[in-house]
Amino acid sequence: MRRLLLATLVAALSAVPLAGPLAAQGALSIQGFGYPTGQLSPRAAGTASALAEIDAGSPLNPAALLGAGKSIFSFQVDPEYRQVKLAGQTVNTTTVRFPVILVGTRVGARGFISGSFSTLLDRTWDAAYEDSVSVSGQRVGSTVATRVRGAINDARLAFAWQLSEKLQVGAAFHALTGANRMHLTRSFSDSTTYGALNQVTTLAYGGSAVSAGLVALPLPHLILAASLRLGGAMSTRYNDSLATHGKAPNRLGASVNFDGIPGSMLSVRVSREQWSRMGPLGTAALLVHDATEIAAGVDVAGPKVQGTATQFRFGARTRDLPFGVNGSFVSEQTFALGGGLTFARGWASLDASLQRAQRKAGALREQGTMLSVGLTVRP
Amino acid sequence: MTRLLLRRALSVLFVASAAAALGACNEHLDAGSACPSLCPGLSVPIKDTVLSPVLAFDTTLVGYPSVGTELGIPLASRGDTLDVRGVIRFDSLVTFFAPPADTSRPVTQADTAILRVRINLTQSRLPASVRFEAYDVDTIADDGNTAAVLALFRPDRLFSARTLTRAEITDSLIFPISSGWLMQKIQTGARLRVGIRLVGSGPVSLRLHTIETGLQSEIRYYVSTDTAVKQIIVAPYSKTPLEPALLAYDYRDYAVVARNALPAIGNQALATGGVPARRTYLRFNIPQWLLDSNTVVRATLQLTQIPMRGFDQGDSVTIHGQAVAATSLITDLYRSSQILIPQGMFVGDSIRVAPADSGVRSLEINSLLTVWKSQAGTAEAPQRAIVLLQTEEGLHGAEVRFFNARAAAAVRPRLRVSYIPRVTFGVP
Repeated sequence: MRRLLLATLVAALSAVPLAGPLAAQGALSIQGFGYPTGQLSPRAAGTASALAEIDAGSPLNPAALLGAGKSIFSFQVDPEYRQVKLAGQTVNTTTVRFPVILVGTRVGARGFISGSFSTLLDRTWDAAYEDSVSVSGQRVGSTVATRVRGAINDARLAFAWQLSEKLQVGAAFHALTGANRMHLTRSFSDSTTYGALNQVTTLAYGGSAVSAGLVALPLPHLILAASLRLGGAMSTRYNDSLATHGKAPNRLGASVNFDGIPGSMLSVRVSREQWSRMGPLGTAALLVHDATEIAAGVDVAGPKVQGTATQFRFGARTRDLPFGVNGSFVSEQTFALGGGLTFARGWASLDASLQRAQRKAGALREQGTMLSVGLTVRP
Repeated sequence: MTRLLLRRALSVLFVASAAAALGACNEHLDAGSACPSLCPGLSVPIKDTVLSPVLAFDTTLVGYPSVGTELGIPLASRGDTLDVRGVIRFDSLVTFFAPPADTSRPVTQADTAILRVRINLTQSRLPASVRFEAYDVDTIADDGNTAAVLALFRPDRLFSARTLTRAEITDSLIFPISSGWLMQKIQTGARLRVGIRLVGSGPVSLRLHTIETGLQSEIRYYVSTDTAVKQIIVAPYSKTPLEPALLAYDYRDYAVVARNALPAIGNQALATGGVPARRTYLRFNIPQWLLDSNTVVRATLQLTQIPMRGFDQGDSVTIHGQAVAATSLITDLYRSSQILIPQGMFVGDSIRVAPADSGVRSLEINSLLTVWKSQAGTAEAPQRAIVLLQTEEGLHGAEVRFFNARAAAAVRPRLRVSYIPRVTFGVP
């Protein structure tokens, strides 16, 4: 078993440096400023985000950091296999994300400080299609290709404090940064006569937010958690020129969790994110609205294998994606499965989850299969 | 048993997870089916415009390639319309020889002397018979004095001639040379400068190979009856001009135009080709707004051809454009029109026409505009100019003319441009 764990760990680690630029393209989920990854650790993703408010590895509720123990370092890789169905055609794409990297440590007996870097909105995609255009009165075959790389990231500095055995609180400052590097080309079948458009632009983001949260145990085995993020000013720069002003989205999330079954957790979570505050950052054509997310999930203890603890998780979630397309908003239903095991005498854990998402907007359909593999070390 | 099953299940789960994560690293991108429906903001409009006037300056320059650098001598005798002759200089005849295993001694005889020239029949025009005449055109006049040379094509200077039927004309021609006449040249240290002229039973034109084509003419003669002594072979050589010395190389063999009866170009035309060959120099005035903030997709130079009636009017010729590599520091247009970016670079297009044709001709120069844009503002930026020249420049009598910038607006050179304005792409 130890050999198996070691081999699995090596394989997971090997995937990280090899993971290249991603492949995606025209899809429902990457409209607007991108796809909200949820900032979920593999553990939370295994319950379709139901555990997110009490999960130390998911940088949402700063109060949850105290659950990490003495210290924590975690990172993950999340490939998504996406299938878009449009007018009888199917397009398969793949995108790989590294949505959360988190590090933190205890401060004194009651405090915990953490820094994390996570993806708020991922905007990595390629798109290419062929058409014909009229140039100087002649129809010419042409290929339009676009490539966008980048994201709006959430760099968080968080602090948690245990007020009592039944109440812990936290606060955090968020710097919302990142950029989309965008390549646009239009090339022609006759390249000797026609010159190609090759435009590279950068859309950079800057903004801030503060957040606060709590985790409370009002009754035995009942855990209530809630967090609030208040977005500050946010702006975009187009090729180094200030382009637009807006505000970072507010978010309010809460969950009810029950751990009455030894080694297990049952969770229900509701979250509301005010994405519409980002509207002024885009053009008038941007279709954006606030989104509500409801999730329920279970994290149950599995059998020990040669002294190694295992966990199994599942969950479901429904939510709207913030950015619409062709006048319709995109809804997403997700079912998740996951698991984890602890090794190295409890100092490390390897978690994996598999989410299956169904998205739709009008007649358009998209399926996404998201794998998340993460390593957490608690030295 | 349960533990064993669990171990196997965990093995499958985590190895599959790791493999899937690895597999995501090299996914193939399938393009396009979801676009443009799901790729809003990908509209890339293309605009058209015609720039006229577009030339800051244009002119026709005569005398290309420079004297002696032609890839052949285009001999022609076309009645009273075109007369082109050739000159081959042998300024250093061999005056001493050394028999095998013996000392050097002066040449005292020149037996079986011949002048051998190589003929290129490409695009030739041959009547039933052609008389090839070789004249002694040695003169003390300046090298550039063609009139003095032409004046020596007279009967008393004729030293050899051959009359051949069309079928007898092949790739080589031998003129017999009088041994006594040649010996006199050798013993007096005189120069042998041969003028070649054609006289046909009808219009005639063909080309002589030159040093530049690798098949030079030569004088051959025997200086001894001893078969062990090899035949003397004299290659073209010119002792003048003394300055610049390199110019003497060009004067080893060259063409002389005795007559070209085409009408003058006038002040509303540009010309390419003919003999002596002409080049058209076009300097552009491209609006900066077009280059600064747009991507030029297509740029077509449109020229209106003027029909030319005369010799070779129906022969198709190829005119290509070459970008000028000379910077604006070089103000001599003749030199600027020689300092060119190699053919095919940035201007890959060409025009194939006959002199008698008319109408609008197009030359694609889009790549060149891209280069000009990239070099704008640099001190070493080349002139924004192109030169139009014929592919077989100086080897063909056909001359193609176009209206220039001083002609009526409808026929003057213009530039049709298709461009893409800067696209605000990627802002949702």
